[in-house]
Amino acid sequence: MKKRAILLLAAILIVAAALAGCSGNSGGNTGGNSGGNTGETGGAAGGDSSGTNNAGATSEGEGGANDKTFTIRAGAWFIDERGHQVAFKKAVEDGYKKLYPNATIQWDITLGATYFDKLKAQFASDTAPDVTFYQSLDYAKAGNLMDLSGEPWVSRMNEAAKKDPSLSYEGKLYGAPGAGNIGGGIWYNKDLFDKLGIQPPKTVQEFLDACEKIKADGKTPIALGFKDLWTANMFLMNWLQSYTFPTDAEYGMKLYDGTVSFDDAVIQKVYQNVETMKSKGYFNKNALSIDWPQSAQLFASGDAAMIVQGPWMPSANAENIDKGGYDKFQIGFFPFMDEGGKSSMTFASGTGLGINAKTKLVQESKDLVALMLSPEVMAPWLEGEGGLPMFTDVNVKFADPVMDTVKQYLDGGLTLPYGLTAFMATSSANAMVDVLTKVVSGVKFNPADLKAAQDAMTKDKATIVLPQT
Amino acid sequence: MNLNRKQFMVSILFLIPAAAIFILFFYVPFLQSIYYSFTDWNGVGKPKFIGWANYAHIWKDPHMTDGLWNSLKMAAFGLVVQNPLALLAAVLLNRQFRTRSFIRTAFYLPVIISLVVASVVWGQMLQYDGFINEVMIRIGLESITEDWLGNVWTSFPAIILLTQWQAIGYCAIIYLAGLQAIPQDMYEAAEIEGARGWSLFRFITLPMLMPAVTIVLFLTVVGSLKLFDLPYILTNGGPGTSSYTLFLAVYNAAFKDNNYGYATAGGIVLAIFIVIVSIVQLSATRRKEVEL
Repeated sequence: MKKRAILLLAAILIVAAALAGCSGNSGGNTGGNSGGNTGETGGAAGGDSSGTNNAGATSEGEGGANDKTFTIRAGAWFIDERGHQVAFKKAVEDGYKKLYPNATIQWDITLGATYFDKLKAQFASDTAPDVTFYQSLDYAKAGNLMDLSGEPWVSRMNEAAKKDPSLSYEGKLYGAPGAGNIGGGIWYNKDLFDKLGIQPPKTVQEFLDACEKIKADGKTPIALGFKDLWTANMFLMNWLQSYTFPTDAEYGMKLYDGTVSFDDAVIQKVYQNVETMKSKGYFNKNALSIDWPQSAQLFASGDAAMIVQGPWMPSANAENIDKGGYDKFQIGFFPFMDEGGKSSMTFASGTGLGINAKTKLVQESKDLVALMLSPEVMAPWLEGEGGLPMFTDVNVKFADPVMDTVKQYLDGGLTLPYGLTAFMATSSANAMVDVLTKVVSGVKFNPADLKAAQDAMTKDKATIVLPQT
Repeated sequence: MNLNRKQFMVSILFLIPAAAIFILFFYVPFLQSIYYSFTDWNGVGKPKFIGWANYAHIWKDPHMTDGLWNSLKMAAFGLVVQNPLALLAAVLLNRQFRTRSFIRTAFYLPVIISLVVASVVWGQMLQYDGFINEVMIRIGLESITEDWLGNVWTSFPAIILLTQWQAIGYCAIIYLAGLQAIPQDMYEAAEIEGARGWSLFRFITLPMLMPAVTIVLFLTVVGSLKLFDLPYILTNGGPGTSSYTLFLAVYNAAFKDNNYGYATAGGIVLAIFIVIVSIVQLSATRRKEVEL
């Protein structure tokens, strides 16, 4: 009797383990269906995202198509608690309620770069959101995104959007453009520049002269927050942009195919400029141990005269001045330049809004995307983001006049929809940033250090998805 | 079926659930990771088989090579500095004195603080305008103030010193437990034979403490090779690659460079390296262990 009981217990344990194993293994593949039943309630209640994907796919559709009850998931990494982001979410939810009164939007938000790690895992396990913002065309290449070439909003896209390399792959459109962003540039304290009689520099020498004057006035010429390595990447790649493309439109392709190497004299020149600036004390001494918000504080407080950042800087600076109780000043903008005064800027959304190729809510997802792209939802969001419109019928009024300066530079110079990073492997770009941080830490620039970037390029070249323009 | 065979079958049946789970969630992913280590895979789409290229690149990649070098420096420091200091602390803490309990608590206190929290606090203190530099300015050492974590020459040494803040207390407690397990009568017998001071330590304490030494050295070496949190939070390996560790290099290859195949290869090399070092170290120290 005792032995039987033991055997029975063992058998139960085996079955339980097998069931647990099977459910864990197949969960990814059948997540859409298995989640459907629970999604009606769990999804609507904002339950865990992974189990509720495509909840509406098996929804108990009642009445007409627009009356059915379902939960649709929308993913992003940047929708936080800032006023314009909250307003964006509300406008989307309210607008979607009008289209589908019984639908629930479940926001799948993970702030920062972690979102992309999560998104990869979600696509691999068929649990990705129905609609998602993305940055890499790898998802299109892998067949994770739906072809949106035939959507009605495509005809509303402006010229910049049509050239945006983050949206198209092999002639098909896989994403709608988000905010049109400059890749970065130099924002400066206009009041301080006026006080010191400095004009926005047009050549590297003028730039260095400006730094010298600012330093002589007891201020830090440029605030760096390189603990956030993306800011170091932005600094380096924006400067390289102005050194490379204006002289050679094919520079990116040459770097890609190996005609030009990573220790090319032009690339070295940028590092040498940084080395000069470091040796002359033009950067804050804690450049490598503070992050970008801390560097923005340094700029807002008036202690630093310039900062290299993206288009969000005017609104972020105004907020920092208010919060910190600093003296207000007018912010100005100019792009990086080379020795001869040539410059180039990037302008693209850099962010696509795509639809999961495996969503069961195809029309519902398309309607959600169309709603997000509508002028009434998009315009206020762009205003908050400091982004320029990528649709012909979206008009944005910026409170800060500096945005007019930005537009002048975009319209008047060599503006490209891609940067140099589009032609190099991520590992190469990161290796270049390593060299930059080394130089900013005070180490003499050694061109041999760029070999790591070249080696990484040789190894990872196949991972590059070239711009389709 | 005889009784032994029946018992064997029953035990097998009991083992199957755990074995199934272990195979499914440990061995299968492990075998898969061996395959991925031979592929070029960015985590999206299908992996592409590239043979030994990932393993060959490890020796060219400064993240990995500098990471390996730093990990070895860390292990060497642990063996040569941290370990004797922890033993010394344990010997002192084993003596009778008035504030003994307080000092023991003080030594162990850093261990219970989350490494992440400690990293953030130390990061603030080591900033250019942080507490450490402020103290140095006040005592007239302004000329040697530094952005300790933003300098290629000081970033990794600073991280090594920070690890000691926790590790010495932790190892000292293990040694202390070992010291307290040594029978007092052995000391008494040795003293009758004329042993004193260093002789007692050399011929009684140290041999009897060898099991604890084995554990401490193992934890020190493996902990050094696995070091990740502190450099990740404080410097993310920078400036340049100056404060990379092998583990951080593997992590960044996956999550910064989107190079999952290569990161897996790095992880396998790291695992093999840890196994080899552990075997060498354990066999060396175990030989010196004595039993009562």
